Amino acid sequence: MSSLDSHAGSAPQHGGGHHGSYLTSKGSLWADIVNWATTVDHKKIGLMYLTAILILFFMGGVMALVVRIELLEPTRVMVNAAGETVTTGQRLSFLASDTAAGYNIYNRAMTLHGAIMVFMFIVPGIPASLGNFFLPLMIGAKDVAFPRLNLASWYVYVFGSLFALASALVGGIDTGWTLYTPYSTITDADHWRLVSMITGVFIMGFASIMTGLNFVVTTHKLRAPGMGWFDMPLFVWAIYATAIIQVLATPVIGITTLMLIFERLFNFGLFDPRMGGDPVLFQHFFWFYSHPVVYIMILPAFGVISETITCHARKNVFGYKSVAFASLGIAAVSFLVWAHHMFTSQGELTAAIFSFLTFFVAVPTAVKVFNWISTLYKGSIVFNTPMLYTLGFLFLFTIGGLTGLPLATLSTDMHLHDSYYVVAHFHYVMFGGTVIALLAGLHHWWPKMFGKMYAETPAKLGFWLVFLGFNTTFFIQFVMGAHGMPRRYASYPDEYQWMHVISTVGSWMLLAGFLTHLFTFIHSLLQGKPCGPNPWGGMTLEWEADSPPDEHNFAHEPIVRHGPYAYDTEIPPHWTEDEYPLPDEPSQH
Amino acid sequence: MNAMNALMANLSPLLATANLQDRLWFGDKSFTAAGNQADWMFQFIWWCSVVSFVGLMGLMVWFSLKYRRRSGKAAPASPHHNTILEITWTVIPTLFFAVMFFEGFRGYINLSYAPVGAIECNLTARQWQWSLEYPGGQISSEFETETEGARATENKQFISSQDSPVWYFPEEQPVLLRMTSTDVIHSFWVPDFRMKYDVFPNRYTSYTFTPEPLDDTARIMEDEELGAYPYRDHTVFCAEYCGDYHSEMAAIIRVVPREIYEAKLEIFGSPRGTLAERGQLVAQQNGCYSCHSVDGASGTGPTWKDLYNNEHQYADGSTVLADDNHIRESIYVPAAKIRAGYANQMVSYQGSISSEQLGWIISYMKTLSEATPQGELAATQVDPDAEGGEGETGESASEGDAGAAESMEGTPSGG
Repeated sequence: MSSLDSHAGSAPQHGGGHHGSYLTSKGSLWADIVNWATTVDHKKIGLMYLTAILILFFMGGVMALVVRIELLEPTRVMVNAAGETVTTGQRLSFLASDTAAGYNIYNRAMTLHGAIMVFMFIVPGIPASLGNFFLPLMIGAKDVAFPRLNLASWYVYVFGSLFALASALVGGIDTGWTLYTPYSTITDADHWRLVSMITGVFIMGFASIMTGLNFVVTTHKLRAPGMGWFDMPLFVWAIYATAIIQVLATPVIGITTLMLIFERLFNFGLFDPRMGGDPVLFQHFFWFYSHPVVYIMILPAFGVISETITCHARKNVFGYKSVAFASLGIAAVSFLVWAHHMFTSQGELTAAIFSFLTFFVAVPTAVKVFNWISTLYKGSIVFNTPMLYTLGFLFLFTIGGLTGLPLATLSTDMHLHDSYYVVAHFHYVMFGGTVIALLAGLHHWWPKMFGKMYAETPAKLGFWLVFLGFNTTFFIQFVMGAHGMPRRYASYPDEYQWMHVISTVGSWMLLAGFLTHLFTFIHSLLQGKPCGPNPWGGMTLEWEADSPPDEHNFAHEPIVRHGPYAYDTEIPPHWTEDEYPLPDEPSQH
Repeated sequence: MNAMNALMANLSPLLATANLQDRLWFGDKSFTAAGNQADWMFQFIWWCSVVSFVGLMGLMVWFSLKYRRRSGKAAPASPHHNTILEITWTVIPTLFFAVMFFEGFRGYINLSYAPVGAIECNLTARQWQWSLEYPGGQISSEFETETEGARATENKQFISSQDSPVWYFPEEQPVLLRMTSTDVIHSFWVPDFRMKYDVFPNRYTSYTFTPEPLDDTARIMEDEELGAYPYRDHTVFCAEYCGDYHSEMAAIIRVVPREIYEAKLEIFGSPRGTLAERGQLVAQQNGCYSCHSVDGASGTGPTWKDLYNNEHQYADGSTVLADDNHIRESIYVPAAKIRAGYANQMVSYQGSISSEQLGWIISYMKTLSEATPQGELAATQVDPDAEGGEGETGESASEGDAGAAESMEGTPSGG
């Protein structure tokens, strides 16, 4: 039952720097730069994407810290004993010219945080980085179906980001990342910055479509001999479902942003009530993309978790088919629930219909969580960093999902909509889901990508900092929102201050956690111990390749003879005990 | 324990803890019946969530500890799926979701529909001020920047650095607000009533509430004219992002006994004082001070200090003397001339400020300017082309269909 007939046992024992790996230098620095800039290798493109999204994640994170610092205390304009007017609490006003208040800076920071994190980090996030790198490896392919298109998508993405960042560098915009009309069409102050930002979003949409198209075709056409649809790893299922959403939904944001640009530049009047337009129409267009997009964010995370939990618990996933079909089901239903973001701006019938449909997303999502937890049953669980992040994901994502119920329920949503409760909810799902899963996946596949192991102890410390910091930052926001703290407020009544202080302190813990991870990753690249091709004993095909993989992934075309999670065999067939023991710690040769 | 709480406590054993739960989650109980129903819904979902979360995480931790890796031992075989189990865990949550959906919809209808006999008021939102007209056309002339909020523990707390209008409403009286916006989308949210609804330009939406009676938790207001009376404050927030001062767009709904409400309406209906004082009040009621300062400080718009009868530089390079007609044009057709260094951000107040009121505002501006000719009467020159005749304070921005207590607006049309 070996998955490789001729390759078994012939893998070199020492990854990293051996001849022919995709990371091998071409000789000179210039040759390397040209090689990376013109590469069509999905692994290099995946790493280029990873680098780009991590840089943008850092920028978005700085903006988040800025937002939290401004909210440490409310803005107060008071007359002191001497009769002078004193403004307190505007911690950011030093960034502004004399006339711009701290409010203005806060609104821009808040918008940039949202726009960068959503459009530039989390949407391309897992699919474009880990997906690009591991989708072909996991199905035993040499590359994606359209390698040049893949490279083009990265350039398009960077080009679009430059537009958006140019807008940010000359002062940013203050519309909120949702760009609701008519505010975004009648605010004059940010005219060209707004057009630039929207253009950036428009361009980045193409990168998303290209990536999605590539993944759909790759999954259909390039599977290794013997790999049927139900022999695919669940990460591939998740990426496939994501790609379908990307291809079908992203054109809508393209058209919507184009409309917004025309509205601003040529006064089309589609959304401007003064010209007979309908501002709510924009919300429908916007959420018709931006709701499916939250599943573009979270489905790949589901896929990563399916991989890590099976590998580190050494268990076949419980209910493989239901997890796979839940991905597709969520993708399908995701197109039918966009108006649940607008319960407070539509009539009763529409609200009822969309509330009803929204609960249909909850069912497959709940089923997935049940499946993952059942997978742990009778496993052989090791608490390394990827597994800690996986369990952390289950904890946080379950909170995120359950707190979504009052938002799907009409009577409670009327109170909670646009409050900090919503902020907490979607951070629990996006951050506690997607970002945590990205970290799980990064640690899980780091040895495969670079052939070097990260240091386990500091990485675990990083996990605890991120996990506790995250809960400190966002759990209190549920309470804050239910108490009546609205979203996107630069200032607030005094009664909320103690909660904001807790939240801000949590954001510093998060910063410490991410810096710890940055340290472990850099340390691993410089001094990491080389690891073999399969340090975790994974059963999916990417572990058959070397670490780091060869230029063309596999020495021979792999032939699939067992399922992706055939952990039931006591020792995998192509293993020998002394070569790959089952350690508590990852093997370090 | 007031009567309402006692009644609630007898409704169901679940509700006995509702007050603690409400304090925990919402700071206090809701002050409308429909809001209490929504709170009950929230408690139901919350307890369902707690039970399922504790169950799931308990299993996760238990499995993780019980089946942790032991060196050299492979995991024992276990089933890969179990159809009966999977159907069960799909169906049971679905049933709970069905309950949430139907009950949530019922509660939503109760939150959205006004009972017959509601006081119907017009509410106009603009950047960044709410202005409310009572059915008789009265406009509140009371403002606060700080409040003794329902939950403020000790001193007064700030709710906004701008003037927040105080609106009086009688207890146990249904109120229906017909809302519209003059510029961008706002959202009218009273956390204590557990309800919000968006406010759109060129469209009416409605908001309804029926404040519960004042009980022994109410505060006592010492009023010089009306004596001591109980009251309860509810903060109003704007919940849809609307620009720079989004967070300052607050107002206060003050629930008082009916006779106090009626006395207040009489006071609001007869604005007293000199023309300049009236102008200052009208400007306040229309939210002028969220952009224009009167002390020379630069804001979103030019300051009013030394504005009148001085020459100012405009964006097209021209210089214009700010006389009566120029001020009138600037308020009714703001885009006609833009001051240098300022954005074209102001909306027209044609229809919200009558010619008479505009005269009062000009009178007030004169008092702010050193350049006002000495001895000039603080009166207005009425333009020949002014649409005269409105003598009452403030014709509404939304004259026309004063429909009965009908339902909400229809669904948003797609074109």
